[in-house]
Amino acid sequence: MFQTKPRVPTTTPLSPEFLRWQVLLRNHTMQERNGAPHAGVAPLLSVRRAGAKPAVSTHSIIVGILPAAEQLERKTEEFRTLYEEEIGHGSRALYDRGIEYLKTYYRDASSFDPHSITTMLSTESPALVGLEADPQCSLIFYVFDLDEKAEWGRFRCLQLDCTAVVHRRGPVYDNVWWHNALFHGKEDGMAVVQFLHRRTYDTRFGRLELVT
Amino acid sequence: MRLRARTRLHWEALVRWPGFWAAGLLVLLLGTAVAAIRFGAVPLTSSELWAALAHADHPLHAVIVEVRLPRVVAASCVGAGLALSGLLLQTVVRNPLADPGLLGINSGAGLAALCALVVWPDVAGLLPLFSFLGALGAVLVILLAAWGPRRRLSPLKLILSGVAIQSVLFAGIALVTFIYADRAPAFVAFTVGSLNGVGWHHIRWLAPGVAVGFVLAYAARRSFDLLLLDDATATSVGLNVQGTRLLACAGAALLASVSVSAAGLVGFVGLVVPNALRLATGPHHRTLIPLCVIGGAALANVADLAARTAAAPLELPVGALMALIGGPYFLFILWKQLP
Amino acid sequence: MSAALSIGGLHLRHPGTDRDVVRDLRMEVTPGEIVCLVGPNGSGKSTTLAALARELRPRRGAVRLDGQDVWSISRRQFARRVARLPQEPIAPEGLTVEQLVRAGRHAHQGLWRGWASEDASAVESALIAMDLLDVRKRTVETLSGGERRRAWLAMVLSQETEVLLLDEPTTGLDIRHEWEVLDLLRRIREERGVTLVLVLHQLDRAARLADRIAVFHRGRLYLHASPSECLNHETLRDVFGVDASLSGDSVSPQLTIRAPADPTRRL
Repeated sequence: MFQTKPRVPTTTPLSPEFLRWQVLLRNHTMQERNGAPHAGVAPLLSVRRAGAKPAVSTHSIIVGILPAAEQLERKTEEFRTLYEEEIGHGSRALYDRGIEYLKTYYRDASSFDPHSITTMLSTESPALVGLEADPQCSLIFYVFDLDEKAEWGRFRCLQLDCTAVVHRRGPVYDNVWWHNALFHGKEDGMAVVQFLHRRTYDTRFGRLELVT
Repeated sequence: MRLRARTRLHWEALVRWPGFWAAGLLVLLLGTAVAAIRFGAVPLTSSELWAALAHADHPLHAVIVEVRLPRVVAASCVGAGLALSGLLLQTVVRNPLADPGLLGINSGAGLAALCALVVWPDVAGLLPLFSFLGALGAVLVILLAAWGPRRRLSPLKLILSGVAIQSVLFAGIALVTFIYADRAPAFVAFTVGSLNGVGWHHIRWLAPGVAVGFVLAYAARRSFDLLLLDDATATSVGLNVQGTRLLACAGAALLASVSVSAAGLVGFVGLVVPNALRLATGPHHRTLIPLCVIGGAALANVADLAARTAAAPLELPVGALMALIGGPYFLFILWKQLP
Repeated sequence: MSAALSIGGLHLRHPGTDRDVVRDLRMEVTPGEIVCLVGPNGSGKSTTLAALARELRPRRGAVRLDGQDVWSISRRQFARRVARLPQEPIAPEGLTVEQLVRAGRHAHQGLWRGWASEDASAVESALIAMDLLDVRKRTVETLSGGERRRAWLAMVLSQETEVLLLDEPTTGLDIRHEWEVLDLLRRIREERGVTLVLVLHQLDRAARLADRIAVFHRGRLYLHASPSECLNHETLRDVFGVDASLSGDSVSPQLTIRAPADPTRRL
């Protein structure tokens, strides 16, 4: 009743190189890895805990990216339709069709939202509780694989400082939830976290260099 | 050799035949009933007994009709009620160790009756009502405790919550007895269980209560049979498992409470009778229900007769005597039947 | 005498817990079909069977028997159409085989309608079908494991339902008796045309018996298809987490397990 519109935290776009890398990585995941997540989509989330020791907790999470704002609800609808069509044939058929669909979904970096990274957390998880107390957090990406010669496997150490926005309903929640449903079915008791990007550091070899 | 095998087979068949037990127990019941009417402060021969019964102006007519006869009828009803109550409880918890005394139903009835005696000493006529409410309350608390967040009545939980509530209620009885020590003798007779001084006014409640319980139980005999299967199977063949359990519990409460209000806390009849008869004739309620009525009545009469004659002219409380028989029987079940 | 079961968007949860054991299950069982539910322990098979048996009320979704929500059918009516045998049924001591089988007729009797000739003939034919005439007067606890299982099946048969739900009807039986029971089930379907839904642990047995197999994985339906489509290297790896090979035809598949394996689908 007395709800005011939440203040939208200030955000800067992700570096185009980073977004392109994420899209490429996801395309590769669907094409070659049958959906099994690559290290590049599984960063560490570090959450500040005021007054507790240690003052920072880290959590390994799997992240996703959002379609660009004007496509968001259309894509959600596509996920939902896909789910409803296939679930009657079993989750395996759904998974296979989902992979098939996502092979073409992750193609062009310009059709994704350059401001945010998303993840799904259990409403009881300590990470979520921490983020609700203090939304300022960091995502730490680390990819190092000597055997990987392709572009997506290049050595990368990145720290993304973000502001977390927790969604329990709404278009962002629906999009991430239905995307997840293609792989893990309908899950209750989850919240979607949207990490709004503030700045990125390159942390290779112990540096802390702002990426622009 | 062959002949012997065949006779043994016949003997086994006879022992498992419910009619054999019905006839035997009926003879026992009638025998003890007649004996109970004849023995007493003034013993009677058979011919004197008939004469006294037939002629209203016989000097012993009043003693027989007003003292000895109601006592036999009351003992029969109490025995039948407690045995049936025990049978229903054993069916509900699917365990031979259930008994209205052990599960705290008798104590619930007893505590309510005691409280009524203390607060309104002049409403003795309404005692059965109070004890029924007390028994029902005890059953409800047991059911509520056993229901739990999983919303399921499991036999084990029923037994355990019954035992817990029994101990609480017994403490309550002890407390009331202690606080109102001035009226202790009446209370002691009540808590130990005695048929001393029972009259027709007790039977006014007792006999109809037992009759209603019996009719109820016999009408639901087929459902009770199914209650002995596991829950999933019983549900699958179309039985309302929780509803039938509730019905059986209510019946057990009714039977136990009317018995307690007449005779006080008499334990173990409800344990021994259904258990022994089930061992003898199998678990079918169609036979067990009538057999329990006859068997319970017979056992109560035997116990009462023994209580009156064993240490004559002193009269032992029948409840103590029953506990003397029942305790060892309980151990026997533990030793023999439980894994 | 058979009916169709239709499961729509079923979410199941045991009372007193806060986690769904089965999530968004959708499945059709056609009349006269044998469907085996298979899957690792804790994947939701038995819970699903309890929901089909109208024992567990779904948190969301519905089970329909010939298009009718099972919870809108009265308990007794339902028991005349669907019978269920739990995993480890209990019989009281001293109950004879015949008395046990008669218990199956409960739903056909009423408060006023007692034992009738069709009850007697149903019991008789169930005893004959399960080959129990010789032991009908014996008490259940004196029977061997195989006989006891047949006695329980006879009880369910005497219920004369259109659908039979069986929870692991062969657990604890040796190979011979297991084979016998499965053979009996196939015969029951042929002679009575009932719809059979059963939980089975052994994949090769399921493949031999079932028209279709429903593979459960973490509370969801992984695959619902013919045995030959279901039993393959991928299913075994994704669902059961073993690296195994299948040889032989679909009638008598041979299962060779080589090693535990990591699933490739992150379901």
